[in-house]
Amino acid sequence: MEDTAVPPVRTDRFARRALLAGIVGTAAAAVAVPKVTAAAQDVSVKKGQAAVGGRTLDVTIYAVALPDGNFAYGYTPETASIPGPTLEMVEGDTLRLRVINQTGRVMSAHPHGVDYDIQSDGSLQTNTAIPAGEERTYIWRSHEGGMGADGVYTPGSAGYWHYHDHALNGSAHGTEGIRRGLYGALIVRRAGDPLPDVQNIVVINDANINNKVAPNTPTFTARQGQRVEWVVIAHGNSFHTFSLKGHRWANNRTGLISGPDDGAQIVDTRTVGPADSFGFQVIAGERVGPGRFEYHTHVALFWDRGVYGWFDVLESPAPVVTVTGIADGETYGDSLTKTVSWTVTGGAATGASSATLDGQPLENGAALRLWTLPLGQHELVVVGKGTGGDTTTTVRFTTKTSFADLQALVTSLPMSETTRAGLLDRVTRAAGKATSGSESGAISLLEQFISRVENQVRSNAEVRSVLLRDAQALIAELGALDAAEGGR
Amino acid sequence: MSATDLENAVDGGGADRTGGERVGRRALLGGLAGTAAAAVVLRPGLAIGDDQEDPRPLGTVPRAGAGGTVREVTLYAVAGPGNRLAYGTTPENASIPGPTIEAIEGDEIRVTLVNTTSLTVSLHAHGVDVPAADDGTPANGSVVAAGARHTYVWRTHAPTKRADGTWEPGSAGYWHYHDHAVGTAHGTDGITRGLYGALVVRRPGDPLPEKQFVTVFNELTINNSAVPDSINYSANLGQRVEWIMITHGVASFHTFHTHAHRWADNRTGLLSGDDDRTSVIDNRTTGPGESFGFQIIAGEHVGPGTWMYHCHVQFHSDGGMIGIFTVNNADGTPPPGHTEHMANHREMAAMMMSAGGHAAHGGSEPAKAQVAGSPTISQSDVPGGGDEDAHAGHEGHGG
Ligand SMILES: [Cu+2]
Ligand SMILES: [Cu+2]
Repeated sequence: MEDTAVPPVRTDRFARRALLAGIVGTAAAAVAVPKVTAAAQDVSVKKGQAAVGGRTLDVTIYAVALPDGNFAYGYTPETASIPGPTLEMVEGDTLRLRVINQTGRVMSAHPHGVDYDIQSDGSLQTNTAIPAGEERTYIWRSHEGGMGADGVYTPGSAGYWHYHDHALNGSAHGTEGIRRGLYGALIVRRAGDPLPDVQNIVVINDANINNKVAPNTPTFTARQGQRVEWVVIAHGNSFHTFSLKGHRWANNRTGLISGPDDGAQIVDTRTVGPADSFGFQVIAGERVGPGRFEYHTHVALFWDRGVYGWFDVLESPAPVVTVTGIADGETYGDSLTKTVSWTVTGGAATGASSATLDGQPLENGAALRLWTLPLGQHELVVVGKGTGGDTTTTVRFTTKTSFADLQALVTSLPMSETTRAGLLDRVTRAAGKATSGSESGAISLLEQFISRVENQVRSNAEVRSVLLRDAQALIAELGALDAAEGGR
Repeated sequence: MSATDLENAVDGGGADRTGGERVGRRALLGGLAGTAAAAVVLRPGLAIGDDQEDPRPLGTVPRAGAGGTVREVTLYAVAGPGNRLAYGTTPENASIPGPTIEAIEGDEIRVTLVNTTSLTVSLHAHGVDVPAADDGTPANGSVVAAGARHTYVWRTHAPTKRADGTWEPGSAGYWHYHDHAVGTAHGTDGITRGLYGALVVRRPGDPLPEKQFVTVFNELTINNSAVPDSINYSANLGQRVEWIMITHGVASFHTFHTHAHRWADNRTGLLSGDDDRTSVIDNRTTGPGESFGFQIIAGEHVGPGTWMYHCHVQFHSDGGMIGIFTVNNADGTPPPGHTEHMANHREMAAMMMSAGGHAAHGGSEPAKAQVAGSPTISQSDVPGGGDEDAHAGHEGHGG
């Protein structure tokens, strides 16, 4: 196609792009948005944030006549649908839309919001419609916002836009094509815009939604807590008020507010007239829980005639938290080191989690040296985050000491080898006494052990206190045993 | 229709505010030229760089200066052919819509309405500060009998912090004025027949356009006209165009749509910067009494072309609520394919009319039937613009 003119560029786009690349580039890499090359078809939603634009997206769609008398756009003739494919761009992207006309009559595709030169207008008047059996590639560009040299800011292309026929059967404004289903959503995102989990396209086309009337209108579903994007488009001749029960949004470009000082009006109903479009994101069931919510025109005349449908927010299965390394109700010798880790799984798990051990934060996968904990009961609390609510799992376990543990600790903890030999001797002999039933003999040796610790383990207060603590615990245990047996 | 006619037609659109020729086409009213002085009165104070202490970076765009001036305007209410009524700055240059009146926040506008018709007419303004005595309604007596005159005082103010700490918004906006007396107490007949116009109140520092279009969806017409007499505009690639959109009528709602151009859905149509989350749109629902405006750069990011604008209510656009916004090449020469695209437009307009366009069912009567001895009233964005036939013979392309 011949470039008839170079559009004026008033924006310092390079600087802005470089800045964005620094900020958003890593996020883009993290969500692994594929580099789109020629023939790439997939312009659907990616998890996370919108990547930086600048890509060339080559997309082919077919326009076909449906058996019921409607017409539709589709990635293939077989998958053509009403509305047509949702086309997505990020500011800076160019979409080369190849439209193959299999409707048997003249038709076109005309976009709202994006940049196109007159060759891509898609109107009969400009000779840019597509005759029956032919094809045409429309070029839709987009741009980032930026300050012009004249001191006036130029808005970027981001918005919830749409495309539609502008020519079917010779209609100068695509009236018949629109009425019979040749329309779809066109989303231009700004780099960094949040991406949804679920996307619902609602086209109120005079007295129907997506060329259907209730009960045949779409029933949309989402799990509680999922980020749901609604794109609302009106067509035809009538004015409507789109309304969504149980959810609300900001009346601006994204439906999201920037903070408490953002003055955007919060609405749950909005007037739309033919070719108006808007979009917003909500969290399914946020503050209202799961259930069946209606979306509809609030113009009663049309509402009563079936211009409504359902949005089912499904209860989220709670995430499953699986803790390994420590088991609930178990008792562990304090010489052990346990690697404590957990996984959060399940349909509605976000993968995020947090944990505390006896009230102190604990990292997933931490190597837990049990001697550093006080002897006795401990509580590990792991919270697995889910879109519809969190799962809290509590693991209670006990640490205790024993002659074997004390021997192990003396063997492994830092101290001089002379000290270590002396202490090992005392504790080993005490263990022997205890095994042979002489509690008092064992206690006596442990008291020698204590005395040696007090005199010789001086440089490391932590080691010193742990050894004293464990020896005293053993003495207390032996004393209790002795008393229970009536003494010897 | 010859190519020359088409080119003349192309030139019909838009008050040219370029350089020193701010009066522009206003003085060239298809052979019924008004005085340039009258137009000058309507646009005082819009001096380039006449800013006070505006902290905003000014760039190179001309900006509105300070307010605080008294603007005196005389408007004549005139009866014309085809049952039309119109306002003009002289009896001879009356147009539909009437002259665009501009002010800057802080200005006082004194409009003397001279009623040359045999009806009682009035002037009612939206947006500005109007005492009850100048409300322009029969209810408070501020209407003008046949042959009489009345001076309406409209004041404006800058945003002001109230004593209670809240802010009173300023007067700036794309407003409008209209009759409130002919036919009914609400001026229903006066509006239907053409007594309306744009009223722009700027904030000091607001960027000034090079061209200005006024589009009024009046029931099922545009500026009381419909195809094949469509209201067409033109600008050169890169020119800053201000588009003022007003809706009137007895029952209809509309969606105003421009091809290949878009604006922010706020007071100015401009965004403050990257963090401004205002929706950017190219289609807006509008109902009777509403008005909005925006500035665009002709052809920005899209290039020259014979672009359509229209009501997007399908049966309205199919019935003739459509016009052409021609973006010429930067040097003023027509865009590629212009002659053919205009011919296509005319051909389709003729088809619409033969299919029963709105003009056929009473939205307006053809402008051509001139009542003997009465002045022509042109339907246009500005006096003399748009009505292509009325333009044949005046200056050619500006290139
Ligand atoms: Cu459209
Ligand atoms: Cu309309």
